Amino acid sequence: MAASRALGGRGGSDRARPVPEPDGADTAAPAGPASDPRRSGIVRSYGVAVAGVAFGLLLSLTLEIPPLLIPAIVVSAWYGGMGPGMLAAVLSIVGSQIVLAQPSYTLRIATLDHAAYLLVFSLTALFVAWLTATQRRTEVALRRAHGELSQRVSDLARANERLHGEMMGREQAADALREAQADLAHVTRVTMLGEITASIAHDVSQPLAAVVINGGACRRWLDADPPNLAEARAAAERIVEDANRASQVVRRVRSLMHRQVAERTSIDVGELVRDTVALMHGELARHHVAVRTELREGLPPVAGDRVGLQQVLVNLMLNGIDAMSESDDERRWMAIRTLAGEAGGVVVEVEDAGRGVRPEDRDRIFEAFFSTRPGGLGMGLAISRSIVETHGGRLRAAPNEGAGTTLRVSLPAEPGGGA
Amino acid sequence: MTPEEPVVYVVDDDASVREALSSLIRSEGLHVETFASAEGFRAHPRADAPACLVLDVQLPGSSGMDLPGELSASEAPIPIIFITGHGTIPMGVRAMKEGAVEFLTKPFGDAELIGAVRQALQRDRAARGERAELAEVRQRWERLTPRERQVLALVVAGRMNKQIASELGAAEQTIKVHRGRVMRKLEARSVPDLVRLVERIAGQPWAADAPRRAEGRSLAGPDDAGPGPSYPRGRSAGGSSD
Repeated sequence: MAASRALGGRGGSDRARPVPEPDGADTAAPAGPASDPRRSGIVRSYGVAVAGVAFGLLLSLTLEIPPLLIPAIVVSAWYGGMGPGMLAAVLSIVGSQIVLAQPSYTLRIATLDHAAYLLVFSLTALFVAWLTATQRRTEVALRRAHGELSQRVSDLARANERLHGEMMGREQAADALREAQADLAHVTRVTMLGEITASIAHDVSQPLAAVVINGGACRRWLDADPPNLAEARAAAERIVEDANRASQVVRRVRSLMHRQVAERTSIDVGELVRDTVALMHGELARHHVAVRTELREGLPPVAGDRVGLQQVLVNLMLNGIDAMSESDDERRWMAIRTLAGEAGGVVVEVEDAGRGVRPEDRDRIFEAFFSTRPGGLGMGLAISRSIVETHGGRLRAAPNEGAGTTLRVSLPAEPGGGA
Repeated sequence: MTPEEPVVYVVDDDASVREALSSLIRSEGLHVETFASAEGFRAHPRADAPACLVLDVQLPGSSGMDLPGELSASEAPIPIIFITGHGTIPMGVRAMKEGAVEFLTKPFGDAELIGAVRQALQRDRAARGERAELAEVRQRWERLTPRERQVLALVVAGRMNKQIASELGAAEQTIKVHRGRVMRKLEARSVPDLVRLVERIAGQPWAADAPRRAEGRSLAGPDDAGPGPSYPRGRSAGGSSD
């Protein structure tokens, strides 16, 4: 600290930041505990200058070698900075003139040679003092810069660490969010299935009833005298078909029922639509809704979570059915089409002829907990939109020219899939 | 198909169930006709044979529940066996009120259905016999002239010829002639026979006019309050004494 001020350094702002000072500062610190370490440092610096020159003069005098004054100047300037250095130089010039030059112990300059020598020596002394002090100052500044730099580097490292920690935290939060979304999607899916339980039960019990009846018929044909094997075989074949049909329904429902991690697979959207319409067949019939599917051939597959996308379609269809709950039977129809989307993507449209969405609600239907249904949870479209968006797609609603609404799901092309 | 071979009609929107029912009923040697909708069944001309209807009550479109009402209001109602995916008690009650023979909830056993079909056909056979007999009676009834119907009404009300003659302002002899013609035309051998015939006719839409127009008197006459079954016997005694 003392040295930095003594060297004409910019003390004030640096005070908080300790700069390593191998000489000066460390030795200056113990002197004058609380009084003024800075002043004692200055005094010490100048003392070193005076002592150094005196020692140099003494050595030169006894050993009769002149150049020992220059190291004294160097030491003074190095130790004390510009002020003490200059003092040492001036003392050296004066001292050498008085002590060493002939005639001794006078300031008189006897010869021209001596004058020249004195001039050169003076310039050299001053120059050496200035050079050393400057070098010293530069070095100190450099050291301080280095210190600042390493401080900054460690700050940066710390900041980096903090950022890394934050990033981890954010990743964990994102994971937790994904988990929560999956949970929510699952819950809404189960709720959704709850809404269509009656028709699912019907879809399962119809083929099962047929199995039981066919079983009885088969037995009767075999018990007949003579047994009618052709009829019995036909009945047995129908049993197999019906049992398969029932298990298909169960399979469709079970895949939606499961709480499973979203897995990305390659999905044929047309097949997904057909499967979903099959699942919804009973529900559509129960509400007397006629459904028309228009599936474009040769659409590229999309990458995604099949269960999630099926949930979206079921949800859109349920909304459509609900929108037509007050319509006359002949106004109850729904169209589901697949089209080619932008950039090799695929679009699925679910169009209904229902009551439509009020203009003021158009922006709100995708909000969570917004429902126009009295018993509606208001999660369906919000979840659907978030599912579509995790697929990198978009879900939008548009009023039809006539009655009803068209919901449009755009899904991007499968990355790497020939678009 | 001979006119007497019974027919079982099956109306169910589910093709599998329809085929299964058809096979099961055919295995009993019965003739089956299947329909996917109530409309299809309505549009189909029905055979003149004992029949019954196996009806799924959850038909889409025009509800299967409308069909029983229509059928029971028709001229030749046939017994109905209701089958349902998930029957509720009110549904069952309504079905029974509308003349269901049986209300079966899927899945049901083959014996249950066959039993119900047999019972229904039996019931329809009886109903058809009843209807045929009634048609016969109607034919006989329609042979009567208005005057003869007046006389008939008073005869079954227990009036003597003399009373009838004075009520109608005619000679007793004329009444006797009318009475003889009535007996012949209705193919009745005695007054109790006549009373039974009139009982059959009573309440039929095509016979609503005649017997009651006889001076606004009901068939039961003075004994109006008396229990039904005792009525013919009591009158027959009076009639035969004449």
